[in-house]
Amino acid sequence: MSAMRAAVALLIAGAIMCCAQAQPASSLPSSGDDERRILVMVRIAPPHFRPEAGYGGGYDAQAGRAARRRIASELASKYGLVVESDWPMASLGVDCFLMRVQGEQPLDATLEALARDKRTAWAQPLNNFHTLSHNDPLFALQPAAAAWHLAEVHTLATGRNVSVAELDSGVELDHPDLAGQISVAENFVDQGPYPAEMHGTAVAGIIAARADNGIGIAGVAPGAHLMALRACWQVDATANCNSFTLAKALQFALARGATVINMSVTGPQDKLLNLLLDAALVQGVTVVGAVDPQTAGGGFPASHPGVIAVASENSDNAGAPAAAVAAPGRDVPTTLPQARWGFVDGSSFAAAHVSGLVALLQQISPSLGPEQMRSLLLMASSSERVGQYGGRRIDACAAIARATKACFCGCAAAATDKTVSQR
Amino acid sequence: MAQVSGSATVVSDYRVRGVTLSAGRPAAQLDVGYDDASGLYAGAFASSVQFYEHSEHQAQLTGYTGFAQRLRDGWSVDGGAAYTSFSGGEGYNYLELHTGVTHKDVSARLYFSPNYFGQNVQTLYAELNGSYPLAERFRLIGHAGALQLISGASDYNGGSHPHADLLGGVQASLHPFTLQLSRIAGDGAKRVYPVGSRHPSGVWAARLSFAF
Repeated sequence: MSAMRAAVALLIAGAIMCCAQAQPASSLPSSGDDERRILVMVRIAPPHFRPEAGYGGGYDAQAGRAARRRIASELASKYGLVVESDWPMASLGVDCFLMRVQGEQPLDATLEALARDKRTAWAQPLNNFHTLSHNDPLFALQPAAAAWHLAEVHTLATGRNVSVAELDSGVELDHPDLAGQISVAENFVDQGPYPAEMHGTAVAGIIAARADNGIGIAGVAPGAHLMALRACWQVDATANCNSFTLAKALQFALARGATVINMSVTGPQDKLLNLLLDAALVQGVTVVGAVDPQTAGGGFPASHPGVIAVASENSDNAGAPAAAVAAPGRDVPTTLPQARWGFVDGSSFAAAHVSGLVALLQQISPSLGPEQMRSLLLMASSSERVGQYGGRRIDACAAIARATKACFCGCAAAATDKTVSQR
Repeated sequence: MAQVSGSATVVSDYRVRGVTLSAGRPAAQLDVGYDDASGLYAGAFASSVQFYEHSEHQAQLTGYTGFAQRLRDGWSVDGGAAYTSFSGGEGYNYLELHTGVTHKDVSARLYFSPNYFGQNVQTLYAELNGSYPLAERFRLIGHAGALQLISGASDYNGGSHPHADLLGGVQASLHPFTLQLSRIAGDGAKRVYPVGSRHPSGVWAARLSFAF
């Protein structure tokens, strides 16, 4: 029995000595250091026969863990790294070590050297990811947030450098959610100062409200430049305009190089505006018009050939044009005068959504002319009309996907295939 | 690149396939293994043994080698051989071939020996092992095996029917230590082994292991 006791004593002594060896501490990565962090993979030997029969199981990955940590320590000493943590990726057969690069040595050179070292399966930078959302508190209430996957869409385009002209009532130029978004403000209604009015402010917010400023909403095209052209004046809940004010504003927009023109107004056929609209289309400007739900044919300018006619997807229509599209038009949170936000309903606001979307598409594919833009939106829309006489609901993801020629917004085929190279 | 790893273990009762090789008493064990990037593995295992109540303590030394390979979808296979020798003389030395397949936490293995424990019997042993994670550091472990004498069977050494053995227990890991508590049962295959018959199966066993 004395031999037994000696063996046990030796075991315990060995255990104590070996445990004095420092184990890597688990630490939560702090985002400040992330630029200097890398991941180093050490191969986990495949499970196999061992006489001591622990029965722990292959996914336990306990067997060989000490050996892998020794290897990680050796690698750390050799390449000037500090081991911070590790986690066995049993599904891949590698143990993943989080290490921090010390001093000023360049990350790329270190990663290259690690890749060449036979002791690693591979090494890679620690990449950062962010959730797809906006910090604007009302964002979650925006119908476009979910229906149009707006946060995801904004990773591809924001309408940067695209000029959107809004022919409407006055926009509150110093609204906190519109600060910096408005490039031009002109009053074509009267000689007085440029006022802040409800309809214009609401349309402006939907198109281009600032995103991620921690307040209010996020516009569909938060990167666009808005030309706030007052061609209408507010009378209670509606705003009125006339051929002259609209024509002046339209002419101004053309002269100033607007790429997209939003006309959330409706009225009778008008020769002057018809010709100006033709001129705009010839110049390559995309015009978006709101469909009048109470007029068969959708009213003017929505029914003008070449204009993108937008109906609300949330209400019935007397007869939208055959090629009309539909966008969110009910309970839309947006900016209102006196630095407020509120909910609005109507095809005016559905049209504003589409003007924003056109700005995004224009940023992605600047060569898209108005006719191509219209076809693209129609191809990316539902084949069914909303209700009997409505527009076709736009699938913003599909539109973006067509413009970028990439699969997008949760397409399964977009998953990239990564293979682990084992040495 | 090669990885060298091992473990030092103390067991309350050294049981192999349900049969005690330490006369029901504690034993000390050491295992050192080498894993090559190519999949080749080799190692040596040593344990104290005691075949009978009053026989002297001996040492078992097993040398093993083989090849292991990861397949797709979380499967791995391995195959190799192990030669076991005992310090008291060559009479009980034996060779055993093994092969196995593992998927996540379950493995199935098959063994063949042309002269098991030098007892002039050819044996086949099949086993199924598994573990299931409980809380963070705890796992349920289980094992079922069957030993079949395929030649040399007689009434004296247990006959030609399969001898089953079972193990069920719990394992706790606090790296680098692992503690296992298990219940072991078997049906008397001990007559195949050159050991005493005073230690029936149906025992509790504890195992403390230190990994390095």
